[in-house]
Amino acid sequence: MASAGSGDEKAAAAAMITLISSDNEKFEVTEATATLSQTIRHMIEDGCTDGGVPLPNVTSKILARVIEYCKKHATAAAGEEGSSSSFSDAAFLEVDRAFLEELEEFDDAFLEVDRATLFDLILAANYLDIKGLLNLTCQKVADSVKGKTPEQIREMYNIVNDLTPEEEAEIRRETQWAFE
Amino acid sequence: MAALPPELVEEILLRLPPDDPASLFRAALVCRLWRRLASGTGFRRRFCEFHHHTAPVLGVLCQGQNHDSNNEQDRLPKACFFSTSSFRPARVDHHGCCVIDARHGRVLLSRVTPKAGPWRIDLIVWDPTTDEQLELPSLPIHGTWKAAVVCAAGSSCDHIDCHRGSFLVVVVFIGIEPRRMFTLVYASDARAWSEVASVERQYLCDYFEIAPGVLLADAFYFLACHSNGIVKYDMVTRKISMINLMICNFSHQNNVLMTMEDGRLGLATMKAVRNRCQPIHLWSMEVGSDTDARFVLSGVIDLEKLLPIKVFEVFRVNGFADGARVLFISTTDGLYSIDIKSEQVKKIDLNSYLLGGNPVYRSNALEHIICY
Repeated sequence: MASAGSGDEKAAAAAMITLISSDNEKFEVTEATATLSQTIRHMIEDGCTDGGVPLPNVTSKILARVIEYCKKHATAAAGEEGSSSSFSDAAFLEVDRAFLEELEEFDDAFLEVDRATLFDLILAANYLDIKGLLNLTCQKVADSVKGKTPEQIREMYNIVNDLTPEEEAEIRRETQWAFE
Repeated sequence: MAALPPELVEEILLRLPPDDPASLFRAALVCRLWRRLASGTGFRRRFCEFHHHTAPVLGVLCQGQNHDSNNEQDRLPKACFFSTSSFRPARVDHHGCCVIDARHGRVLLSRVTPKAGPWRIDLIVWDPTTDEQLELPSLPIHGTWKAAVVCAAGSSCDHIDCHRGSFLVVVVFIGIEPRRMFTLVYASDARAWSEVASVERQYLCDYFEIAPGVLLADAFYFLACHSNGIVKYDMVTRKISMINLMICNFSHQNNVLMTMEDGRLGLATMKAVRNRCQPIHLWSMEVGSDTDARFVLSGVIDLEKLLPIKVFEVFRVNGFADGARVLFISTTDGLYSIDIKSEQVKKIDLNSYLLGGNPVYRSNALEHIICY
């Protein structure tokens, strides 16, 4: 099968990248998927991806989720580029809107994770430099903090209050209106 | 959250909504790291950049008056702050004060006391965030006037969180005797008034329209009576001039100056008709002559379609918020805001008891980003 493959298949096969998680699990992904990560894009540009890309900061569990995100968003990006020439403007807009809606639904479902996983995703998105994923995950945490009291925020995220009572009183005095 | 390094905690704090400043303040109380991040000097700049330098509307200042009261004190006007965000000022009302202007985190009020008499102007600059207020030295009245407050840094500042800095108060007079038009400017740094511009008056108009002026590229514009002209005060050249409106059908309508998205001067006009919701017409000033202004129609807002059915009359267009690009209108069902771009309509919750039971006749929006 591999020997009888067409030129296109060969090109696609050539553009596969192997990512290796911290627990030594290997993931085969297309270059289009992998290059959503600026970190990996630079490695590819520097030609140092032969034999796989070791990612010592990312576990297989998190890497699988990150790849899931990148696959979806890489397809969406490719779809947008490809469709512009073959559709009329109105049809293109329609497809575009459907794409965006689907992507939004995907993102919402993607974020349905426990808090520890959410933090691991933030760390991975930062390490791999995937802007969209970092924005998505950080916004999710920001939304969860919105409207909560300092006590509720500490409880949600296991944060120890290391402010002295004096420091706390000072902040409250300066911005009393925020705590009514 | 201990697992996240500070730069990633900051990424989260940056994403708190600017129209909910209380969230940011509560976050500062979570722990030392969060407080240090939220109060850092760089954070303020990054927060503004992240939110595209667009200051949200924190609230609306309205003025009410109870003419029917037997008590002389109650009949005095009252300036009230109505919050449209999570921001709550330390005080909401200023008794015996008129709302003159609100800009760059500051509010300009004028005190109206029976003792003061009609011959002087007592202006107050109030910072709702810190509740500091400064009473400016009294000014003798030289005729009809209009005033505005502005950050002293001009267009070199992004005016996002500059309410603690230096400010200017600009008062434009159309003098009766002698017949001249001139500007007095109060500088907070010099703590004094100075006359900066004067021009002989050859114009017919004698007073200003009630709506607030607009600031556009370091110049203030105020609409003169029956919309015959626009008084322009340029803060850079320190010149005052009159721009003639070349279309006369603006007169006898309710008009409010605004800034258009492309940076031009604009005008929102509406003909108030009993028991009707008339459309608002948006006009854009054509670039060209500095003394004559031609306006071209750039949009129509069909209020009949947008407002809920219980609103059966729109009294007037009250004002315009620059950054948020919303118009305020007073109706039989109270004050509404209309987002010009999305045409989204929102009712603003006014406590009519606080205002003294009478309809609002003037409203200025306070737009600002507040950081810790």
